[in-house]
Amino acid sequence: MQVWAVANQKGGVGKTTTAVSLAGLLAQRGRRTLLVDLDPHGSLTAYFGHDPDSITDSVYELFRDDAPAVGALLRDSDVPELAVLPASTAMVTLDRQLGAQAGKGLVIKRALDSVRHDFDHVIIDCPPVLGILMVNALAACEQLIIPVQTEFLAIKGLERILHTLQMIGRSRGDGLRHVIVPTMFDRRTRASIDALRSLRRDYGTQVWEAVVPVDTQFRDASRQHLPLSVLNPRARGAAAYAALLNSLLAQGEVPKLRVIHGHG
Amino acid sequence: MAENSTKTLLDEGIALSMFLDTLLREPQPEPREAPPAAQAPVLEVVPTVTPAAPPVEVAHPAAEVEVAAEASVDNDRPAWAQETFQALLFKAGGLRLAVPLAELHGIVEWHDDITPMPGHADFYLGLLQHQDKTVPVIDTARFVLPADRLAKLAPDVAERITRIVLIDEARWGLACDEVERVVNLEPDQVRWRSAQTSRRWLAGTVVEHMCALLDGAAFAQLLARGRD
Repeated sequence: MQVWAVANQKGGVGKTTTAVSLAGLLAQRGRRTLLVDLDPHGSLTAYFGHDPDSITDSVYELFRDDAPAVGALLRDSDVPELAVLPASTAMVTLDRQLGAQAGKGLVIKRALDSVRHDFDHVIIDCPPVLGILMVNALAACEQLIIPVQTEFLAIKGLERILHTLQMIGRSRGDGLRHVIVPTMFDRRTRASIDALRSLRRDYGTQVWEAVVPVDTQFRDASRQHLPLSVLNPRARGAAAYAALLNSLLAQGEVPKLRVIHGHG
Repeated sequence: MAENSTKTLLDEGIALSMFLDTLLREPQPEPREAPPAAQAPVLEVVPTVTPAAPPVEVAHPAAEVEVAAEASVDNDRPAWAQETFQALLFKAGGLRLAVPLAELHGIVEWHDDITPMPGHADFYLGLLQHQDKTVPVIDTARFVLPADRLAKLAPDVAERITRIVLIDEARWGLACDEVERVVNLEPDQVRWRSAQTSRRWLAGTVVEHMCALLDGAAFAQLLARGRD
């Protein structure tokens, strides 16, 4: 089972779209796929038609001392082979309730270990803040996907997630493979082109070689609670994520993306 | 002013490191067995106490010994070192030291607002006004380094000191060159001091990090006696 996390400490950069798109494609290829929503905002949960404000069985339950089995919390989606572990708004209280208790950063890792024979892939949608949930995601995954909107301010915020990644690498005692994915690229605008150029200049091989373009069909897909690749496999956005998926699967076989190792 | 209250916060990097290390550390439900003494590694860095340090017979009231026995601790390690613990690495006079987080009160930046204490031992830098407390600040390097290394210290403390590590509930401040990071330590990574050592402030040494681990409580006791 491979576990990937999609994270950025800036919101609105295409995190949920990236998670849903990659998971949808994996499921369409027959891979048993689990989408985990670790963001208390519950965008991914809402994407699949569940209300994070009223849902009762969610990731929140996993943090209880008497946590239920993961299987009891899973929801089917309208896509075969794709299950969802939803978020609830109450997860926003976990940091305050649990503080920094030893081992509480490993809850999701343990939970996913318990279903490792049930899924081929897990994709985690992370919250945009560094707290117990993001630490859990980064502790559980072996590949981090960092979507970055091709826009000046979004790129400025990239340093923060890379710093977090480095700190986590130290605490984990190993490295975490990561790739920066330029999103919402609009080739008609100067701002997008300049932002992409500076992203490649500053982060080099950490940046995926292609881009995810702006595509209004992402919005249509979310309205229908479906990944875009299911709604319209030929859409530009779906094709871009298919290429990203191929790249990630290939990298998984022969890792060559930059690995940040903790040291010193 | 707000300035005073922010001083008690840890450095951002240290705070983040502590947060992450704690969350990602496996909790240890079972009490640990004492590591076999024969496996203790040979120490290469052994700091020596300065001659300025006072005599070191620190009395242990019988009651304390009884409490320790009741807690069924079958070793001489401090209470914070009975299982995995965290320690802050910092440097004083180039020597790397570690203080357990259990005994760390906070870290403040060094400013030139220390009130000198004329007539005291040279390792007393002066008094720091910290919130509602007056905290004596020690030139840690002068307290712990051997004489031959003291000669190499920059005479101007402002040139080498950047932080003050507060211990013993901020009753003492240990001035240091720099604060490094937080590490997780297993009790068996530490070569614990022998009972007859003259360096009561030294809880032990950690070869992996080439550092001396401070016994904050003993350090504070020594300083208190020295002050009188």
